[in-house]
Amino acid sequence: MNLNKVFDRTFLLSYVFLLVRLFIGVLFIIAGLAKLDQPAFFAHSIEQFDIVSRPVLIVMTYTLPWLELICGVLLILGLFLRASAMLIGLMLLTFIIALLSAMARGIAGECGCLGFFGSGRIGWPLTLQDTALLITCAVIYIFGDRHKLISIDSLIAAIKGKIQSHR
Amino acid sequence: MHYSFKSIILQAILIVLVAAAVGLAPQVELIIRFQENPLDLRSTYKLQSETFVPLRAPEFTIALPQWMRKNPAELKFIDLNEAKEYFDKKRGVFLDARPSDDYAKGHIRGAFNLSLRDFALGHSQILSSYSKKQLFVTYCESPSCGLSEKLARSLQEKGYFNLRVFSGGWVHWQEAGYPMEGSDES
Repeated sequence: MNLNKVFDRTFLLSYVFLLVRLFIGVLFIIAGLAKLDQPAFFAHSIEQFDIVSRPVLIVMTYTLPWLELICGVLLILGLFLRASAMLIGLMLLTFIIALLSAMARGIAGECGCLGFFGSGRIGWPLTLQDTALLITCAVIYIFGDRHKLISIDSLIAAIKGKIQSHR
Repeated sequence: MHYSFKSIILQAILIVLVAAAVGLAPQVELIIRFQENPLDLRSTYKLQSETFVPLRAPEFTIALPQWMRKNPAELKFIDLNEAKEYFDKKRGVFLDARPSDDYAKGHIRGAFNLSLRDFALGHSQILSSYSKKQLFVTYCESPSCGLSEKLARSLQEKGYFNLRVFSGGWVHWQEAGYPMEGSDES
């Protein structure tokens, strides 16, 4: 193995990206599992934001945890990397908007956003935490094409490349 | 693999559809049942706004470690049949939330008396022998008395999370002629 290559800047960056990807992936898997485990708790937390009607609430209660779980797994596997980063980003954006609107209306309480993660009270710390995660997801989305060490996406690309070179 | 923006959007939609299918498919029957008969309290949860929604824990149980769990704000309401099932299978400890003289007259066999007052004053020693994981079924006089729910909420605040509220209460149990004990038993 070429040592120069290991210390190559872009190569190192790829490792950083891999770590970031794994971190966000694991975080969302845990968040998804925690919500799946306690649907009613999650329903309570959506309810207190007082934004959605009951049918939407039921759909969200059952769909969002799975969406988080699937996106987390895809992010770790590196399959549909940019699509899952985009979806996680959209979810975070929704959470942030909900948090801000709740704070503007003076609603205080537990936010079910990340299950166990953090103290989970509605407030600025949580909003900032979600914003930081959102930025991270944006970074994964933007650079997801260039840095995808150990991912199924790159595996597919490699296989496709091989097939084409054989022709 | 370079994906175009269009295919990324398509992938995203696919992921959402899969999540919705996996999440909602097992609940369809429950939701339809609820739409047809909102008063059927099986597998429903009461939210803070006093509305019931059809909710059910997933069929598979995930053994989440305790640190991952938030203490649930969930209270599960069960009907007579479910209460009898818990009773028969000895799955839960029954707690009678009524005042002690009502309890003395008659109660579900094996139930302990834990009135809200005793609980608040810490007079009761019943809880000390159970872990926070213990399944408790609370009940009071009838579906309209609120004591069982209040007791369950108070237990929740103390960290007990495996709680059921038998909303039918003593009246339903008595009418069904299920096992009971107490001074009025004849």
